[in-house]
Amino acid sequence: MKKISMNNLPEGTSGKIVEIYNQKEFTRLADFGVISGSVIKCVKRNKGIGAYLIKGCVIALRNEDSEKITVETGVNYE
Amino acid sequence: MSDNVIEISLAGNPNVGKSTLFNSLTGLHQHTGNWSGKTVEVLSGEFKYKGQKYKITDLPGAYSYFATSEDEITAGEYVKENKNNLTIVVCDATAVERGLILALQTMDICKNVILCINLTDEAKKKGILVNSDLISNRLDIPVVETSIKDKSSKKRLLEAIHKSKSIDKEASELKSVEYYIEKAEEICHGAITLSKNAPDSRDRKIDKILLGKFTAIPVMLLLLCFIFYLTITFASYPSQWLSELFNMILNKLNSFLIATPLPLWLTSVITDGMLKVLFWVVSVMLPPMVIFFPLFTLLEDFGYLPRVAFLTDNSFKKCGSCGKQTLTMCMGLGCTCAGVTGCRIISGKKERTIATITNSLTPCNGKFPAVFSIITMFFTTGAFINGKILGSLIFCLIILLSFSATFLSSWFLSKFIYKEKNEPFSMELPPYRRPDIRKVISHSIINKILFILSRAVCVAAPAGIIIWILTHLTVGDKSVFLHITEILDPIGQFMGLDGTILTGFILGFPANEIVIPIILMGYCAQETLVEYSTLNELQNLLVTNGWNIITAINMLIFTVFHWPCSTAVLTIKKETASLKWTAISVLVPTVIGFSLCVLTNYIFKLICSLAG
Repeated sequence: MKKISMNNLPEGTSGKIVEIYNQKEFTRLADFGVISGSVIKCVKRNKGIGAYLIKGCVIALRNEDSEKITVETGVNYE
Repeated sequence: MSDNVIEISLAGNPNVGKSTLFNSLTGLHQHTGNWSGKTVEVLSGEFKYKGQKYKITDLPGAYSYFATSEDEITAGEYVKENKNNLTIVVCDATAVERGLILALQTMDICKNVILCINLTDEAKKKGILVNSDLISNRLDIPVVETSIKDKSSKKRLLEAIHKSKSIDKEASELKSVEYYIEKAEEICHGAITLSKNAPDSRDRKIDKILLGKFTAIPVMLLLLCFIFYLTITFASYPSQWLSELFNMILNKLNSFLIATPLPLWLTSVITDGMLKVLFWVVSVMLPPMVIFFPLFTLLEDFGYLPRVAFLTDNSFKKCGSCGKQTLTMCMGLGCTCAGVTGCRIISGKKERTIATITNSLTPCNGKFPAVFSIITMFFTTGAFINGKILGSLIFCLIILLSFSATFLSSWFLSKFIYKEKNEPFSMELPPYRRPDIRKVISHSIINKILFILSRAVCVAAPAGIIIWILTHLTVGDKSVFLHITEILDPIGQFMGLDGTILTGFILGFPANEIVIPIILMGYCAQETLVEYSTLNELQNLLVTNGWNIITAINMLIFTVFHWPCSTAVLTIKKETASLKWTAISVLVPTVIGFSLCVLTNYIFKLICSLAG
């Protein structure tokens, strides 16, 4: 089990969000369900941006924004 | 039977089929309108069920009422202002938990809520089973499952609307967003079961191709070229057929009117002025747009366009904007006004302003036919490549040119004029959906035909009359039109064009589709009723008036890059609420067009003088 920032989450792996550095900037993300405790899976990486599966939906987040989110990996999430 | 009208608000996440539901309930009884004095327009419609009249308003898609984009702020404010309405919240059966976040917020604001779980056929295909009875019990509101495949679902929804009652409760303040997320999770726990392991596997497989490292961009370019190729191929015959038909009508009408006691000049105003321009616009604009836009709508419904935004975000970010600008540019392909209004989906003020200002750099409905005609006349008789392929390649080049101009001007604007920091960017990549091909094509075709015909009647016909007056009214020894042309000719020649062309662009300010008719009328004014019904004859007319290859090239360039049309300018002023940005939006394409024309003209003259 290790903690990495979300922009480093490799394609195809899941993680559990443990900390969001600047919650205020992420009201929009909260609407998508990106809050502490949510399970998130990276489904695609492209230059500077990543696509993540959360609550059955896929959202795209820029790396400089997902950099501020810490996820915990290494455990098999459902 | 009550005479009052029951009001319904239709809310929900974006991409859940809300508009399709709205269309199926209201049919053609729809209209946009301002609401309660606000400047934002909403789409309303009427329908009747069991003797009761209903008025339903389709709100912009929103993920929650803690909104950050204009569209969502509109939805939130409308719901709060009309909290006594029956509010139907639509959600996607494959994303119920997410949709519940908005539904729960709505239930705190409104007294009368129905949850509509849409696209249940898609959910079944993915093995997602939704227990809507359980959800209904837990929420204590009616829940209706709907799907376009299930014909009885519309009846069920209407019944639920008919039976709905307001709950007697106090409207409460909205709680924290985490509260709603947790509550949504609680409600869905055990109510949503998966019969397949990975419900999104089909989407991921498609994404592998459309977003793949080496396949994404080639696929995008291929798709674009393919759509243009189809458009050019299938538009030319109907265009020709329509212009021959109109020509026949014009001739018959002309001979008929001459025989009547009507004065000759009035006959000329009607046939040479009004009808000629009207018929031109219809025969040249209708066929390509009727093919291009349904194809594009299919792509949109399929879910491809957000993927394009995903792929292009990095490049746009470097220009101070974001990937959603691709979406607004695509809307701008139809009409710059639609593109500019569509910028409301962009949350950051800087990004939104940049997207608004640069939107007119994307060629719109009114410009396409001009571009197609010139390409067909001057560039499709290729000796080495098949004419149509050459034509579509050139068209792609133009689109690429327009993209590059958009990137460069966005970059310039963000570096020197609007220097704020980038806003965080997030966007949903919706699941891929099989578009209802028949419905899209029929809806799109009918809409486009109506739109073009109405533009033709409202703008082209009056413009035709005015241009006739300008070309026939003489001041001194020349017509007013000719005076204007001669004044503009030096600038025109400097740009590799001529005075008549520039006059066409200037007088074409009301709408881009009349630019070419004006130019043609200018050339024809000295001669009587010259035939230019076929593109061949048209080409002859132009060549006789001094057109060469560089005129054609610069005509293409200036058609794409010149000041926005009057409606676009008005819309930009309304959306930005700033004279400064409106002025910049007029300046940017004009400066680009002017400089490019001067440059290509200079290079051409240089090559000619070097060649001998």
